[in-house]
Amino acid sequence: MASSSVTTLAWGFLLGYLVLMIGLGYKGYRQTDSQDDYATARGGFGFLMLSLAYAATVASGSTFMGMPGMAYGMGFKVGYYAILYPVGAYIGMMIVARITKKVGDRFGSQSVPDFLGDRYQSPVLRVLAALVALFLLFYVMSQITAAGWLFDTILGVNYDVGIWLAGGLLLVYLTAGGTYADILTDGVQGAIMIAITALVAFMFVTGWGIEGGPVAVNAALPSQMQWDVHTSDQNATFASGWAIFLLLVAHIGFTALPHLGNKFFAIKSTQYMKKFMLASAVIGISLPLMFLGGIVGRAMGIQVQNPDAILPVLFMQTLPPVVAAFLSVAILSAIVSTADGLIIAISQIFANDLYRKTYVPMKDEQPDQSRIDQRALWISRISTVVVTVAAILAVRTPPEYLAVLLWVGIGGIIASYGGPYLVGTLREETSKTAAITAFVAGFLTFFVLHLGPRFGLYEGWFPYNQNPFAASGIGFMISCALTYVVSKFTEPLPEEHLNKVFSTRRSEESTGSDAHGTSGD
Amino acid sequence: MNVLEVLAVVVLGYFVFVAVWLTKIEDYLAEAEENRAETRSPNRGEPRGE
Repeated sequence: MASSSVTTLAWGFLLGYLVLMIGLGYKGYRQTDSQDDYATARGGFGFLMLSLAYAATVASGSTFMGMPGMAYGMGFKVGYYAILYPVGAYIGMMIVARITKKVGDRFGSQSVPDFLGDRYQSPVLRVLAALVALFLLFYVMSQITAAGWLFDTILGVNYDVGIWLAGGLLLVYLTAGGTYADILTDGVQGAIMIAITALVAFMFVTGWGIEGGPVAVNAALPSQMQWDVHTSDQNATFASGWAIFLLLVAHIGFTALPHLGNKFFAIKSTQYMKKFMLASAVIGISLPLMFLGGIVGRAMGIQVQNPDAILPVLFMQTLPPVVAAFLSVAILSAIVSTADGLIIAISQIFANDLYRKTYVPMKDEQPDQSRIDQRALWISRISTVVVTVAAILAVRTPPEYLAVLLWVGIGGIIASYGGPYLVGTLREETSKTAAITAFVAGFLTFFVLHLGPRFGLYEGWFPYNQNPFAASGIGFMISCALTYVVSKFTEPLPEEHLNKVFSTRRSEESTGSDAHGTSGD
Repeated sequence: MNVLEVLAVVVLGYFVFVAVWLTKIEDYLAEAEENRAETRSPNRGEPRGE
């Protein structure tokens, strides 16, 4: 429990934060007139705001609480996770961002599953991808749990009330402002997160509270946690160099998660894409330096019952109350900025992937586009409420297999989307058959290696049975390899469709920059 | 090498990748798209967009 001065200040910061988020939500509401606005905020943002929002969305509560906690318990080797995850995620981002934006604008794609359906002219792939992505609900649940715990620890609010406070905030601005509100709030939250990360990095470099800088910090750690120890036989995540390499591989596929991929639609134009990539790549790799806070806390001999609490406790014990209080807003920012993107992404599974792009075309009636869009907008708003409330209710008594179900979504997407999304972006020859085959094979690989053992069906193989990154990394590689190989032996998509997807000129025509369609001839 | 030194090398390699991607690969892909527009369009040789 925090001291009363920290709690009082934290409430002050929190109230300011709530007012700011709701104000930004209202601004998002003013900009949201259609289903496409709600789902994508298409072309609505410049590169800097979107970069901050993207980095904030990638970095979840895990970055701000889980990684410092892991570092507190395991030492420097956790740095491999902290650094390799953004390296992989932003390499993946660079591969898919431009094509996702371009194809999304041209076909009106409103989500990553929708993008896959449009890219491969495959309603089957769209529905498969949407069904796997539904499991991201458990990711939302994990974020709301973290928020409830944060309210309980720092603000002295009961966990059951804390989860409703966090969920209520999300409901207010997301239901009104959709993706506009999501990105506006995430951009501001990203700036808050950068400020705290810079402080933590400074504490490590100066050897905060320990004479002698980083060398002294290292020397103060137990020997198995020091920086010359790279792996641990006991821990599945860091069991070997191979397991660590798979951390990197899996996170290349992490970029396929729908709450990340849908951000690309929001950039003003593909001409800003390079600036967006550069800014995201720099901001994104800085935020996980938060793990150093766990190292400093351990080196200082701070005792905590729950390792995830090390950062708040470190701040409360060694920094002025006003800084410790501000940390609560930064952690809440990390949680909320991921949860809101996830909720929007899940709402689009119902409104766009299943209703607008699957149910409507299945009906024989001539569709009235504006009526369909109005309905889809309502479905978006209603499903935003339903998903948020369902997640809050579910975490009051977390399901037995919450951690496993969480990984059905994240690992399943990494393993299955990988080939169709990343390889299909680079290789226009990729066929529909290859994409569907790779999607199913990638998911099955992840199921066999990780989900089966975690559900207790059989023992499985170490470290894959305990390490979701290693299992999804293997699934990702199989998905990519199959996408490539099967495409060699199957019919490619029609030339006319590939022209629409990959040709620059068609892109310019569709966005109006080449209205007469004659430039470049 | 200790963990921090390995990570420093990884981050350096990452920024080299970012630099190469942004200065070379992105332009190469854009050029490939332009080539497709000029050589593979089904409407090649005809006015487009009308």
